[in-house]
Amino acid sequence: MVTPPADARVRLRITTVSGRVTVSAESGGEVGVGASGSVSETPDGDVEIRPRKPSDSVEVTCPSGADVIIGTRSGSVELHGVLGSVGITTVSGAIKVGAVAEADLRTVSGSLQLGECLGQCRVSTKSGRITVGTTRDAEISTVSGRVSIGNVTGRVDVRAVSGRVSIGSAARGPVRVSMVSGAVTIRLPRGVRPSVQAKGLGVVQTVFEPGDDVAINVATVSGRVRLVAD
Amino acid sequence: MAATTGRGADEVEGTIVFTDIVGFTEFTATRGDAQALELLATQDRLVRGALPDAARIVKELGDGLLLWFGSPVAALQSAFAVDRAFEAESEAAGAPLWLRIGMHHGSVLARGDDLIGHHVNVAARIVDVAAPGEVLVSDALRRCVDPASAGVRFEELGPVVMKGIPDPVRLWRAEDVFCP
Repeated sequence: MVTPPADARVRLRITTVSGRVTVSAESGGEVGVGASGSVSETPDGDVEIRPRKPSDSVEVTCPSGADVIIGTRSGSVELHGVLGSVGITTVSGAIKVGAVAEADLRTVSGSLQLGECLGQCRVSTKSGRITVGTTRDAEISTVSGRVSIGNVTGRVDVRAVSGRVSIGSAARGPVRVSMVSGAVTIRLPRGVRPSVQAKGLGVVQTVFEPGDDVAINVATVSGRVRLVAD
Repeated sequence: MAATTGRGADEVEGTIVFTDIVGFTEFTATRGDAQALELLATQDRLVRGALPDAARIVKELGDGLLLWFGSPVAALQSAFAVDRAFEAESEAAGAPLWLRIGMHHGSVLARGDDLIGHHVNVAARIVDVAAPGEVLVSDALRRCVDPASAGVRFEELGPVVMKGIPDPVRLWRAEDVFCP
């Protein structure tokens, strides 16, 4: 067990190749690692956790609000409880995250699920499927994957090559969509009057009367953007 | 500073940069080969315009470039400038496309005009992780740069496991603090 000082911010740095990573955030002040993981402290005070064998799974407990950085190649990642700033990079592993303060999640082909993000949520995939429940701000990029975000209360920035993106926006922050040939659906509250600026040869369909409640900027080569009522 | 290895190659230390146009394949399929060539010419022009004296284009790699810089700070500043200019030009032309850029610092072997070695391979893997419009750098490069004087903000991505690279590489997202 590693017990951080009461006023210290805990940051975990976890790396596996193919082993599964499970992190459970709980009330209390201790970092605990299962028998298959080795623990060391980095010069900058982070807790570094690695599996004893490359294919070993790692199970970790930590205080609620801890920051976590994880890198895997094909190992799946599950984060339970409420965490601080979370960064996960994987090639093909599946990612499931509960609730976080901030997130930077990227996968090449693995699937990714995030329940709730209180701050900025940055997600990136090449061909994986990404599902986010609610977040304040969303920065999304996909090459050919599918991205679905239930509710964004702040700003939205989408960069898509040919994927499919579906986002629910509370229309309290600007929405910017740049895409080559994909399909993006933005759900807005009924009765909102967006200011839509569109560039390019793609198609923008909207059911809303124009106004200045929220700025929607769309640039697309040949993609399709739909603004629909939530 | 170059040191001859005795194997007919000079060992040089510097910053290796890979660029890649995101969406190039889809753009070519939609707009045709002629416009795709124009896009490559745009990338080439913007990169050449941003290169300082102690830097060069090593080679073209399809829709990407391999660049070499003597200074990591100059490499970062050039990357930011090219990234911004490319996005602005492509969007103004009605084709929202982005560069993604991966950077690493280390010693490599110069074989003629080409560069080879482990650190070149690491840089090539880093660009694969970058999102559209993003500049990612290795920890080796970050440690060579004073963020305050270089006008750079680094945000950690963490250890990344890359194909063919034995150890995880600690990556950072680099942002220009002067860019809004």
